[in-house]
Amino acid sequence: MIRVAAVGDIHMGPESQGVLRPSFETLPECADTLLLAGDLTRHGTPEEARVVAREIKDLSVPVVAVLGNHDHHGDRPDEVTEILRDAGAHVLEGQGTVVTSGDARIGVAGTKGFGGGFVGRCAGEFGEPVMKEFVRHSRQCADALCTSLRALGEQDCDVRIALTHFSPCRTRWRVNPWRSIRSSAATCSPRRSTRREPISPCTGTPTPARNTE
Amino acid sequence: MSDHGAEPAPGAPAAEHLDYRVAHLGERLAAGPLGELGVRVELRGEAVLLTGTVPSAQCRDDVLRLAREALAGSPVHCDIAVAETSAPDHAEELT
Repeated sequence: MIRVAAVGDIHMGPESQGVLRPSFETLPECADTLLLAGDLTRHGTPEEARVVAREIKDLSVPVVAVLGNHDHHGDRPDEVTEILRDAGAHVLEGQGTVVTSGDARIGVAGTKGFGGGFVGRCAGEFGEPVMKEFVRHSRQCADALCTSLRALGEQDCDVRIALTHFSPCRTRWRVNPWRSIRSSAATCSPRRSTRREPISPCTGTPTPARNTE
Repeated sequence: MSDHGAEPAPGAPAAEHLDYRVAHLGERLAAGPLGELGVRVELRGEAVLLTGTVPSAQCRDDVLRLAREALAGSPVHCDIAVAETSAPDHAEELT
């Protein structure tokens, strides 16, 4: 059995330094890896990223992260990424990585994701430049996640996990359509295999067959 | 947790276009220094209800202060939760 600890939307800032560390330090007893599903900071500043970095530094389980929209707000996602990597996290955007726990190989493909909708309820790459750019970015995030998941399929992983910030699940859209319609992920990801299906940790459900918060 | 504060102050301006003021507050919470997208601001009759989850007690206090400033003259009810930071008490089995 693979044990996954996953959390997102922690929105850390200087006032929250240290609040998650006590829980994170219990992870070796109960988890093989820690996944951070984006919105790790409030405004995406290096100062806030350093708060997150101190929370995860030197944990004895591998940490894999994606950024969220809040982590982009300061227009410095590369610096945020670098600070988290310096603290030991695998920070993914359209990439995959394999972490190990004992003999288990855990493949994680990650992207922030974006808006766009789902099959039958999605925007098209058509019309005004800003509309085309919006949809294109959604599609690029989804395509990169799809490619990364397929590549992990060749790396003898015991489990493959799709880690995203924007929700990959239609259920979220049904619960709160007006909020979710602005932030639903684009469609993607390979069809589930029977054994090694991608799992969405931020929702705790298997990733829908053609979907990629 | 519920805070029923901010009754209309004597002499405060009337709640004209309250629905617009509520919408502008939501935009200010999201795009302003708080960067808070996790709070819903809803009209309930003549009052305004704040719901959602924020990362810290300080953030909740900041949101409530901003709401009372922006909606002076209208009652503001705060039902904002602060995010739990302890470890979950059970695992979820995925198949």
